[in-house]
Amino acid sequence: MKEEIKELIRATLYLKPDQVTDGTLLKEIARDSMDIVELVAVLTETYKIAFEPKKMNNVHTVGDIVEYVIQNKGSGSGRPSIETF
Amino acid sequence: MTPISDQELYILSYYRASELTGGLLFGKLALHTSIDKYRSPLTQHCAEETGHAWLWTKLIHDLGHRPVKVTHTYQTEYGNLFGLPENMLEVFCLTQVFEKRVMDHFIKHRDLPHTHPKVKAVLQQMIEDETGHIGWIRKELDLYEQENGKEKLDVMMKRVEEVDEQIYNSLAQTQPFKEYFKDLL
Repeated sequence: MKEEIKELIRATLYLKPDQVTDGTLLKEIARDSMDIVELVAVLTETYKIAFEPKKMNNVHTVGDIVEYVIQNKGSGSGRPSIETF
Repeated sequence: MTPISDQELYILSYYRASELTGGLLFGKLALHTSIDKYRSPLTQHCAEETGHAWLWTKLIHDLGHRPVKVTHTYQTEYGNLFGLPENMLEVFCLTQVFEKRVMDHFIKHRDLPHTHPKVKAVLQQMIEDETGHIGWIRKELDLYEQENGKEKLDVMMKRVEEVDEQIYNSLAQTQPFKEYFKDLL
């Protein structure tokens, strides 16, 4: 699953495979806040995560994102509504 | 042709960049949303924002210049002060407040005595376009209010309005806006 999440990050941000490792800093691959919004939209919708920005404070690397997704997978309602993306 | 000042060139480029940023955001949301009914209006909104970015770009060229690189836009300030939008509801609230601000500001800019006639014409076009631009967002927010009550939406709108006020007041103290709009900000 870890590799699947990294592949999704890579594809969403149009990166090369070697640009997405566990240690890659988010600020190195997300050029601006638009990229972050896009990444959040894709990950929360794909893995049905209830996005909580406060929990994101400790997310700095690709590895952190992967862990966040694994830990919070399925926390969302799974129903598309205005309170999702 | 009457030239425009460096200040005005920067401001027009800032408008262009902010429209582009909005277009990019809505395009990305249109691409990724799982909410079927939003896919089309998000795409249309993207098209309108990028269309406006092109109008500013064309105007800058018509005035004999190239757009200045501006990457720190009004939306960047929202990101810094409000944080990442958590869902479509927050995107809609931010957009409603932002578009109202844009409309108010464009009217003020248009009515400044020293505004170049070509700039005035584009501002007028933007003002006319904006009228129907966010009707679909208002409808969605009204629907949300009917289903969830007024209180939650009011709290969010108030928070966004406070952030917006803070940004606008801060920009009013930042060059070149401070000098160019000194009579109205």
